[in-house]
Amino acid sequence: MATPAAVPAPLQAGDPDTLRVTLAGHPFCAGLEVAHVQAMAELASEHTFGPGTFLLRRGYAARTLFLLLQGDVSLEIVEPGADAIVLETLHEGETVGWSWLFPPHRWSFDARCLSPVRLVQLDADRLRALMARDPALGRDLAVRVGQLVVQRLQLTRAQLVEIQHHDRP
Amino acid sequence: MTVLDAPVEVPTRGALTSRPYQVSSVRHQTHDIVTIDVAPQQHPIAFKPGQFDMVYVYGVGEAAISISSDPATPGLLSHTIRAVGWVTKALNDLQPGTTIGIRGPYGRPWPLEEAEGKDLVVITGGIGMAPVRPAIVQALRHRERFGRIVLLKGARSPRDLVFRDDLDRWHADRSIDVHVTVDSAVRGWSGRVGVVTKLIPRVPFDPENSVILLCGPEVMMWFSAEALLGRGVPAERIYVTLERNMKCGVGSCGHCQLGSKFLCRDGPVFSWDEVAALLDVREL
Ligand SMILES: Cc1cc2nc3c(=O)[nH]c(=O)nc-3n(C[C@H](O)[C@H](O)[C@H](O)COP(=O)(O)OP(=O)(O)OC[C@H]3O[C@@H](n4cnc5c(N)ncnc54)[C@H](O)[C@@H]3O)c2cc1C
Ligand code: FES
Repeated sequence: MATPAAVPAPLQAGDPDTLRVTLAGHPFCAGLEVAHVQAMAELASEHTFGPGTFLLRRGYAARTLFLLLQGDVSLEIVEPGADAIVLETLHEGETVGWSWLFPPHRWSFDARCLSPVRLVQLDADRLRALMARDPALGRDLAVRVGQLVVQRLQLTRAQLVEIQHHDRP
Repeated sequence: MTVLDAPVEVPTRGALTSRPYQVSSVRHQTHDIVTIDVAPQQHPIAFKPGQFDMVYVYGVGEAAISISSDPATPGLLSHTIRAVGWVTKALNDLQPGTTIGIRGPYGRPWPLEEAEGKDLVVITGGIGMAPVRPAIVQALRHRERFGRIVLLKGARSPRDLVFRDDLDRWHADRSIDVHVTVDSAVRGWSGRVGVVTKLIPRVPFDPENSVILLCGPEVMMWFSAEALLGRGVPAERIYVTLERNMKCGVGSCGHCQLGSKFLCRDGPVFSWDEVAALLDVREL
């Protein structure tokens, strides 16, 4: 499946040094070895997107890791003929999507910018290749994504319990 | 003694007989939550933030309901009620002019004096705004005594948000840092979606110099307390209010017993180190 037309071309791409500093300051990269951040910066570019832009669409190939620097993004799911349901909103310092790491590498949701958004995106095909070449980095990133998945799962469980609680008679 | 410490006259404490009060207005907050006002001119009820009354619907029954009005105006007493059972449904259906019975105020209030000189962080889920609203209103009246005042407010959906007027006003005058999140929404809602717990690691306040008031479903309080402990807030400065079923409200029937505590008499406000272990026990 092709990259969705809704994902616009970068408005701004930073130089590797600036990107290294920006990446090092993002919570996803906190504590990573300097050499690893450097290697990731070479796969990264900085972008800005306007409100309403879709960063990713359900079913499309997951080829990017997005690290939010500024702005708000909603994770949505759409049923035909119904309003889009917002599952969660993501904000500064958060990471959008992990499907880029796990086969079949397809997005499960839509992600839409709610406000002007500034982010760093990393080319996931090259990032996975880098992880395979450098097992220490591979393990470290896999654990970080695993932690995100666990965190998100716990929050989703809490969300379900709260919704269920409100629905009691 | 500070104004916050001023002694509260408790006219009916200990009494099991309620006094009749006429409902002066009924304000619909959401599809299943109302705020009922009474104007007890003859018998003003002085209370402290976090205290509750036993509210009696004649011919139906009685329920413990927190006082949600401003403690500085004991001549206007409000209770905010979500319809879940017989009594609360009857309260939701009341019309102005109806007479209800009220006895109270009861229970241990929020420790606002302890929060003076510190950041005050209020975390609520659902109808949990009702018991903390008087604390926020009182803290704002003495704004200079507190550091940051932060409100993290969760609701099931945008249509379940209570006290919207307050939220808008507090947000607009910036004397309090308001963060609202809902568990689910459809496109068009421009705010946050996700559990209130998720806000805790990111919101600016000093974990080592803050007092937390936490009120909502028990499971939400659990997750929030865990996140607060993870951020470095000591358990003894996390306060929760426990809303288990009550009957007498004054520590004589044992209906509200949780371990060695009678929630009506020893609570309903407790510090997390006092109750965390008790909440772990399934049968209590
Ligand atoms: C100190 C204290 C303060 C309280 N303050 C308030 C308040 O400000 N506003 C308010 O609306 N309620 C408040 N409550 C809760 C209220 O007292 C109870 O919900 C009470 O049981 C309602 O009586 P009822 O006859 O309407 O329902 P019940 O007949 O007691 O219960 C009917 C059904 O609802 C379920 N249920 C009971 N309570 C809840 C609940 N809280 N959430 C979801 N389901 C429930 C029961 O399991 C049962 O299935 C407070 C409770 C305490 C102890
Ligand atoms: S309700 Fe009777 S002892 Fe608490």
